[in-house]
Amino acid sequence: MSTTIRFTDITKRFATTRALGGVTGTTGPGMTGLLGPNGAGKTTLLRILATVLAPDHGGVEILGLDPGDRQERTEIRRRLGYLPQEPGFHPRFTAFEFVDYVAILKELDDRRARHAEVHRVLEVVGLGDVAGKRIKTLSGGMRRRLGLAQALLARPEVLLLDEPTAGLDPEQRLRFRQLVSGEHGRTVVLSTHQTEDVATLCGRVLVLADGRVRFDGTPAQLASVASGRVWIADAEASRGAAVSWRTGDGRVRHVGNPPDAAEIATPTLEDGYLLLLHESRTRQQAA
Amino acid sequence: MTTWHAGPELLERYADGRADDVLAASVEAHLLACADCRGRVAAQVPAARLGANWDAVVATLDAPTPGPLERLLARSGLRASTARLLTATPTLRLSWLASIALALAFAAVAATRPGGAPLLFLALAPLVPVVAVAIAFNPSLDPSSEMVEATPVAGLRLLFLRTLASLGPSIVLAGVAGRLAADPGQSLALWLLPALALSALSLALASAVPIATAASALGVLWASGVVVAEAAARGSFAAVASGGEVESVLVHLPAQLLAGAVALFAAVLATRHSLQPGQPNRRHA
Repeated sequence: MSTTIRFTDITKRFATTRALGGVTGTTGPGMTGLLGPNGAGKTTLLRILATVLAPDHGGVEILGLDPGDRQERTEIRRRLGYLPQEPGFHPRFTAFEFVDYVAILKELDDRRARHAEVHRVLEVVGLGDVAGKRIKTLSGGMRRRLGLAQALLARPEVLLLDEPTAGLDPEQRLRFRQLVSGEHGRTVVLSTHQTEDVATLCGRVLVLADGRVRFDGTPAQLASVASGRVWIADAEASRGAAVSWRTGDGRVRHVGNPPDAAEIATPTLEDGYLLLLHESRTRQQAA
Repeated sequence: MTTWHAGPELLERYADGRADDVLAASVEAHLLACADCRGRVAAQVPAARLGANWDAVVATLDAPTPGPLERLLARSGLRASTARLLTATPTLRLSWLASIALALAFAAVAATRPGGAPLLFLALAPLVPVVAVAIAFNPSLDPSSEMVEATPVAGLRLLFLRTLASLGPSIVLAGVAGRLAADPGQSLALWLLPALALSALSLALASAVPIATAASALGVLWASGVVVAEAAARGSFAAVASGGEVESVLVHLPAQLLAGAVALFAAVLATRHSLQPGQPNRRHA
């Protein structure tokens, strides 16, 4: 599989906070999920990949091009779609006007072709009917989809989505999944808190914690991190359970060491992720 | 109620789009009144043509309607897409233009009053373009900046367009206000180069600190510099408050040449910085 994005030992610091402390990884065509707790550096990494932010140190290569070089950066931007974590809009623009404005910035200069493309992306995200409405009258979920629409303009080869499903209801989330999974051959990197999104969409997952890559593999491999360490019991307490919670059926799910009278369970991606985070935190405290 | 109906051949030509304008108009007039012919023509229009026509109608309805300024720019030869980018600059909103016009009017009135203060105008006028630039490049006032920065047009071209869009109107407005002030011939020449220097410096400094901070610091520095220079020329601070003609070194050629040089140097710096990712509005720090 070819590599479309490569980042090597990148660091980024904001005043006194270290956002990224030497992150290395690659992604190829298909969907890669970026999982991690708040403040793990997911957004910083995506912004660096989106060429909006320069790393302090380390190398980035996107589609074989160097974002540090002006001409190559412009070329990357021509082939890239980016949905920021908090896409902001001019509230006075209509949905159409906003996407049209971004389309101009994406060098779609021919008016007729541009308008056709704006219509296409608005239809794709299901906003065709409200194209003429002012953005301030749209709901939160609609604005989120509007942000996604601009990212899809001109069919980018690389799509970077920062928490695209935050604030969407389950039905909208399903629609979003159908939307992005329908695009083959494209490189999609999406950061999320939803392990479900990663499990259903991504062929690959990177776990970022405390500014470092803690895991790089398939969702199945992430689940198997907790292999043999997920238990179902009736009791609340557990010796050395990394995490435990009461599930809908009244029983308690433990990840980590087994409690008394427990049955072993098949791990999910979420179990693996939680265990990984717990262990990374414990190691950090010990260090 | 009509008894005449359009012939099948005529309806077919209309449905295919082969009827000329005059014929099409008369068929349409008939169709409005005749349900029979409407029914027959509906079955004949090719689906592809119907779809294309519908898309064209929707596109026309949804398409942004350019405002008066945008139309003016487009008519004066600017590419329509460039005109749209220019007019989307936050500083070109009417509210902003109205507020600088008002501020300048006050300064001009203050300067023209008998025993007024041309110095006040000299201290304030160059700051208007600086504030305009600071607003145009302040990411918190451009809610879409994060998305905009990841586009190919972001960078140098957008820097030029936005600078133009913010400097242009504010300089014109300050120029008009200057004409109304006491010293019409001299005033524009006095503050134009300092204004350009301060604006370019704000942009250059924006690579290191937020642009609002850069602009405020430069503004305070300039205003106090004007007062200090004037006090030095007149011998005391008390003499500055008495109004009258500006006497400081700022009105002399060397100071003006220096301002010009600073403007040029800072513009080059700002241009270089805009070529780095995450610039020129580096609020990320």
